[in-house]
Amino acid sequence: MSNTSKGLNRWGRFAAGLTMLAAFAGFFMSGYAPPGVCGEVLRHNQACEIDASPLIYTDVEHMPSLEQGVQLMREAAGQREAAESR
Amino acid sequence: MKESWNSLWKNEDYWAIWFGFAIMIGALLHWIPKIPKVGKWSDNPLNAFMVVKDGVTEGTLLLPLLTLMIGLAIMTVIGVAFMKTDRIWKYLAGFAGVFILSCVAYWIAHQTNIRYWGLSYALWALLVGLLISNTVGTPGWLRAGAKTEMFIKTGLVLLGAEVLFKKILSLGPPGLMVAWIVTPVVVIFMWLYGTKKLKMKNKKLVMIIAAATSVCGVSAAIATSAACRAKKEDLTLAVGMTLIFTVLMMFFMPLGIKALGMSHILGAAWMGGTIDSTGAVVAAGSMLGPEAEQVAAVVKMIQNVLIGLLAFVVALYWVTSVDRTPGGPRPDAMEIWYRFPKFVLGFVAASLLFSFVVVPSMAGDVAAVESSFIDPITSPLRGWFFCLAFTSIGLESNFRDLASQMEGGKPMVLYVVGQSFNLVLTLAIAYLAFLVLFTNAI
Repeated sequence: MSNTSKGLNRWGRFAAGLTMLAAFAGFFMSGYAPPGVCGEVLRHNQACEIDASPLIYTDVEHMPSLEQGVQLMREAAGQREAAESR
Repeated sequence: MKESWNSLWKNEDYWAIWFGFAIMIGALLHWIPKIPKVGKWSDNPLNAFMVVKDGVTEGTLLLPLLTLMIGLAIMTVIGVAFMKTDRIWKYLAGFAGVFILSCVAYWIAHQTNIRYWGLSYALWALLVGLLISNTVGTPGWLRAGAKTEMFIKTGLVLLGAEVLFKKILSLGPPGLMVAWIVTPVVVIFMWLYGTKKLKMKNKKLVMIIAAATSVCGVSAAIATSAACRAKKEDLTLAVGMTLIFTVLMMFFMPLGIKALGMSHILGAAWMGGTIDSTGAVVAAGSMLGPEAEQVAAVVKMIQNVLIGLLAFVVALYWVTSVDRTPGGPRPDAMEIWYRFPKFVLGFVAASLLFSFVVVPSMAGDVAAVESSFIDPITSPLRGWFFCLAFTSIGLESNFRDLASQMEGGKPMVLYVVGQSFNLVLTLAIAYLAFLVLFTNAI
């Protein structure tokens, strides 16, 4: 096979790969949610605008408010326990 | 194996420490401005590169991103020049290419609907790199900029700054029980299952999958792969599996918990201890209500703190046991030091610095430390280094090598069995912690 046809072959593969990647990304970008229970979490994420992609806690934008929520729950539990022991 | 003083400027591990600490010191001295990130977008792709405040476009991100690229290139080229791994101009051209491809990966990952699916930049960076390497082939000039190891190690040293020990106590004893008792048990179980029962030849892959399953998916996989000096294909495979199963668990665990009528706090702790990535944990927890979302996220956060300890233990175990010649003598302290991946010490030192020096110096105000140094500087830079690393991995991998890692599907069996064990054990410990031993904890 000549160098020109090898090159064309490579770029043809690239075009095919790019199309597949675009189709794959496009599917997820489309906003499609599986029907029924399978898509329930996704529809919830869409409705509440929940970013499910962070890898670690510092990437979660509202992490401070989540931590604060647990802190308040713990304080309330402490007060409940103190009241019960009285 | 001997190590001399010139390792300090010839060894990639040390350069990761120098880069990481230069950034941290720069952040602490307020020398580094807020790090730009590719923005979020819904319908208009160009919005990802716009600065929008209160719905008004104030400018573009192109100049800040260009400045970041130049800044990172200048910093890292110093290391490349000292290590003499590539010619400087070749590296700079390659780095620019890898950076632009990483921007593309971030751009895809930041689309609103993709974020709802929980498909992070790691996946897109891998795919963008794989597209090039498996079709036209990665050109030499681009390959020169794909310094996977250097990017991963620098990102990990920066990740150390985010691992704050004060977080461990956020949920009291039950949180500690769920996050810290189950994790080591699952790692050991999966290690033994993979090496003894499945007899997997690739022990590094066993360890990476075990860490990803039991701690926090992609981040733990990155840390462990670097700690045991695994191949890029091992990390790619483990990350691919963990990303797929994370989405599945995010979809089905909250539904199962609801169907079983389980206590939402118990269910939240269960999901926090088992779903791999924090974003998916938050989404799944949110399905059960705000309190469950909070508990799930905090359990995951406590587990995240284990990354450093795990990387340290894995590195030590690898040096003292796995890499040891069969029947050979146990390596002495100096030998262990020579072989030990030094960047792990940088990771631990960064964590200790921020936990026990920076936080106390700001009157113990963790939130202030996070909002001043971590959120605007070290965390986004860690993200950039990981994204550069995953793009580089994609550029250096091919599907044939990836397929050869499959060992007849054994990695998949290991993941499924390990995750099933993780699910059962976490549920049992969470039940014990939240509903039996510490009923008044929250």
